[in-house]
Amino acid sequence: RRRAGGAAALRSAGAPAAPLGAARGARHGGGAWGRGRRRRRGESAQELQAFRDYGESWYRSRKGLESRFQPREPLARQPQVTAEARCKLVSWLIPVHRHFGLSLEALCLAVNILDRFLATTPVAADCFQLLGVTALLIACKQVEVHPPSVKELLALCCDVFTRQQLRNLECIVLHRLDFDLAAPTVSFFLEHFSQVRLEARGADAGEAADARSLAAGVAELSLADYAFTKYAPSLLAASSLGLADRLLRHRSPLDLRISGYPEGLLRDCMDQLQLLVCLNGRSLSLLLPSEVAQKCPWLGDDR
Amino acid sequence: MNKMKNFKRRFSLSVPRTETIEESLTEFTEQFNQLNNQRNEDLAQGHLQLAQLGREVAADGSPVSPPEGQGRSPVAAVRYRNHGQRRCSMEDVSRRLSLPMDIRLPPEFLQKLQMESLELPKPLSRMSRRASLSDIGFGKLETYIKLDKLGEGTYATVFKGRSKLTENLVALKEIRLEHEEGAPCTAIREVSLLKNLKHANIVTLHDIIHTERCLTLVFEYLDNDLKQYLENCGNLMSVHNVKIFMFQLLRGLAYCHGRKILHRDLKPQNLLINERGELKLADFGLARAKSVPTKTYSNEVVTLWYRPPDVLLGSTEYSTPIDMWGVGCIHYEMVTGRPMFPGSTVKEELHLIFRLLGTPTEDTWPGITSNEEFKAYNFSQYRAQPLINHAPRLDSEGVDLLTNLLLYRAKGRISAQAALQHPYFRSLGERVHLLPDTASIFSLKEIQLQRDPGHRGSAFPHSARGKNRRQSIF
Repeated sequence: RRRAGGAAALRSAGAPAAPLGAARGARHGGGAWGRGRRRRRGESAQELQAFRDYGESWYRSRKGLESRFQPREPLARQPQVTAEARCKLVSWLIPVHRHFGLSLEALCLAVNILDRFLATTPVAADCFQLLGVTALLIACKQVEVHPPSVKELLALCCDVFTRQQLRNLECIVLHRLDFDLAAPTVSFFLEHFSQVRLEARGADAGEAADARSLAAGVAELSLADYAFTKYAPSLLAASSLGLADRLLRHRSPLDLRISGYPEGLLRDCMDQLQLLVCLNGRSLSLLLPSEVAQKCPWLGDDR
Repeated sequence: MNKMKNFKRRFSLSVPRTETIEESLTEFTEQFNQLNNQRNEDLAQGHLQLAQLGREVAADGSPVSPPEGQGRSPVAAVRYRNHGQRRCSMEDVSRRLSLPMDIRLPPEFLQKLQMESLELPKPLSRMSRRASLSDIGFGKLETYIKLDKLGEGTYATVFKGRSKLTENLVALKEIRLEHEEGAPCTAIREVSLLKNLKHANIVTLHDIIHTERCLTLVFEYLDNDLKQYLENCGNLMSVHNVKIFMFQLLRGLAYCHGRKILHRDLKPQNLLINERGELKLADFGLARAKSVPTKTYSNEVVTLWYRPPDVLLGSTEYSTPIDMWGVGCIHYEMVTGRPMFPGSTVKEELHLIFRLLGTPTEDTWPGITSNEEFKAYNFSQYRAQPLINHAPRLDSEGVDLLTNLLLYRAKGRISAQAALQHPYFRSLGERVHLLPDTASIFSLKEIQLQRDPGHRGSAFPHSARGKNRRQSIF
């Protein structure tokens, strides 16, 4: 019997077939879950206060920067790098970022750096993976306390690249992007919409948290798919949350109107995301915290 | 079967679709509905079967299995047990991706990459704009004349310089990019953050010059920082000027905080002041770092004087109130002419804080009595002293603002945005709240500095240079 969503698709596209983490242990005293994820669950009073003071302003400023940082057809000019190769690379970066306990924010930034660089510079297929780890390194230097070391990153590529090559490429990327690195991310907007939802009267904190987790998984998955580079991060975030609410059959779903997008656009993006979810149910279930995965039996359990 | 394989290979919407995907979508929807219906029935009958199913779903091949000996949370344990036979190895994540064209790596590929790209027609208009800017001299080192060296550290050297384009003085911060770990985090953060910050109370980054081994940041030049300013006026500032400086500091900070950017290292040395009395926040290198820095760019030990007690006690919380404590300390220092808590060790710093503001209790700082570090220090019980006794020149509104900045409970501290509306600033008038971001507070004619009573010699620091000086200073 054929099961939908069981295609383990991203996996077959190049992500490692087996779990990560055990071999290396967690670097920063945390489990295999990214710090960002854990922090999110135990949201502090201090951060909540900061959101009340500035949340609206954070949203407006990021929203204003969105189009400037949106990569435009990053592969249009690439002679060698294909959408399939990009998918492979990002599907590999997903477990890599989890392996280091990095935040979703860092991953989103890395993919943004990757895409915007691809839009400016033709890259040979054989240094594409180096570009991937370089983008990750730059993203981590921006938002993480302890970026992975160059040595660790090179080891992940089986030491086919040298330290000097990585450092050179880092310089080239920084130069090409003119140090424009502070891109608004899907991770920021997920956080924002979820926070707004929590602040509303009669909010269901449980539903909000589940939707946020599932949506984060969906958004993470969408990073690997070239088709989603055309959507703005805020649209992806709103649509992921909308889809999560729908899939989880929530009684009080997020009012997607707060995203400011017309219904048609949201519906289109949600449909695409649903298709993605249905093709990658297995992979998605692996990206979710188990308590959320338990609520998504339809993700497919074939093996 | 063949069809099935075909389907399995599809990973993405980007690859050409066949009807199998549409079929699978329909099937997925059906299955989803079925399962949900079933779940509702199960729930109605009090069964937990589906939860079990979900658990198994997550169990096999999870890319996030917990490392051995760690993460023994119940969640992780469930997942781990179910695929115990699968050993994870380094090879799984570390691998050379077999990309479509697996040719051997040519040694000169990076050069090639650079060469090719130069020939590429520039796709972005911003690129071409940059090209035209470079025609007139931006982005080129020869546009700037190096004058005196202002300071040197492990990562950066700062020079005073002059722009040949504008004849203006500039500060040139040269950052070496050649390090084991590549470009320094601090440089990457400072540049990428400052590029998006355009505000009258934040130092302007004029230009970035990227050469092979070096990155040079060209900043506007300001003669003074607040520390020097205080020294120049014999640590006796006019209370009116204190208010104007405070307002500017809060304005710059509210702008940063409104963009989710923290400064994290506020201190008088990082507040630059020009001849007009404009105050600007500088040194954003640490702005995004979550860890408490111990060394600066220039390898100096970071001062503890402006660091909030929650951070001194090891809190890794990271939010806007963290900067507000330092604002309070700086306010006090401007009014009294001496640093508020000049501790040289963490213990001494905390001791000075508690001696003045009172040793925290559950009332003033919920949760403090269970803080291990706090307990270990075993401080004596001090009672809070009235701030007015220590800062007698401050009016009652000023004392109220200071009190709200120096709260132990971080979330209770007044925000920069709210502080701008504090009655302490009422005497500055209404128009200060309507200024556009990039307009200086001195563009309002009612805002004028007074002569600082402690200032020796000429009316204003560096007034010998004179010609840009405002009449109002006198």
